[in-house]
Amino acid sequence: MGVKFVATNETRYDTSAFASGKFCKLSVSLPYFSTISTHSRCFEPNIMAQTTNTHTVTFRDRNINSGNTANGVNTTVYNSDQNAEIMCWISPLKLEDRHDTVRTDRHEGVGDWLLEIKEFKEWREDEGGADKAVLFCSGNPGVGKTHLM
Amino acid sequence: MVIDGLYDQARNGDLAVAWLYCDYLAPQEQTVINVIGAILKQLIGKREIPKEIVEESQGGRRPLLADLKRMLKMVINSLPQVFICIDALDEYLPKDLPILLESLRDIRESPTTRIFLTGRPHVKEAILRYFSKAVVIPVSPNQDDIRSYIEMRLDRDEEPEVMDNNLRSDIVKMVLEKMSDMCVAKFRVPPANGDACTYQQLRI
Repeated sequence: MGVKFVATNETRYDTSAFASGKFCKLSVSLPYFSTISTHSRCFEPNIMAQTTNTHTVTFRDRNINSGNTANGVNTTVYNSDQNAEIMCWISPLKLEDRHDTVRTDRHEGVGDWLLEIKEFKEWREDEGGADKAVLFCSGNPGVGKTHLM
Repeated sequence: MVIDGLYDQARNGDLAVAWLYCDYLAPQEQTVINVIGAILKQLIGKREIPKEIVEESQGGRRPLLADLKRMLKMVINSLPQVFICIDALDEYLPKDLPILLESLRDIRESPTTRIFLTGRPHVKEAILRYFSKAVVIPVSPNQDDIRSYIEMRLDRDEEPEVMDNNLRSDIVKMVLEKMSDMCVAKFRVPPANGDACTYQQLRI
């Protein structure tokens, strides 16, 4: 009985987390990202502009804030057509958004232990030289590795 | 946390950090070429794009992995400190993982470059093959972190009227008890696509 109750509550909390903002963020970035994934070749800037506008309109209908977010992404990253074109030529992948989601979800203080241990400090401060250039945090699923990022 | 911490602790302003969250649902996007290119883009960031790269991009040909590695080395050498952080290497397509690690090793010639990796224990062997002196830090569930996280989630509950102290302490106790069982029992094998939602929800 007790176990069942906890499970029900967990589901509810996760749903509420999505409703309280996280979902809005994902609803903008995921369709945007999936558009990129369907094109292995680089976008022409005018095609990119059309695509982004379409999404902006769609999400503004649902939620004004989402529309603003989409506009924000657009102006930050594609402030110059030429730079955008070169960046897109380098790689169509855009990795920044995922980090915003992770850092928003992280509870303050979780994982702070890592910054304090000797191995991390040596890695960070370059004290170990080239030998200690790679740090690997190893753990089973669910132990909080992603939130160390 | 590490990424933000690096920025916070930066002794000078010119610190470049690139990151990648591997996703087993995105193997077609996260090819080695796309990933190495995306790291290059992040390291360039808001800096001026080097003229060699501008010129090369005007040639019309899509860059090959060798081109991107060369460009990446050039950019890394122009920066005082570079950090590359990659999460969940175990979710990276296994057949491409050696190529990704080999590429990272190739671009890490500069002693100012630091690489931060996370993943399940089984990718350790692959990492050590390319970085024999990698420092391995075991990560286990931290009871204080979990407790503090659950408390936070309970504080933010949208229906506080149904909560009382007994229920609250029961929830905290039960979740802590079940936590390690869930992780090990449910996710011993990579989840199928249908389990993706649960898998994400439990990643705390």
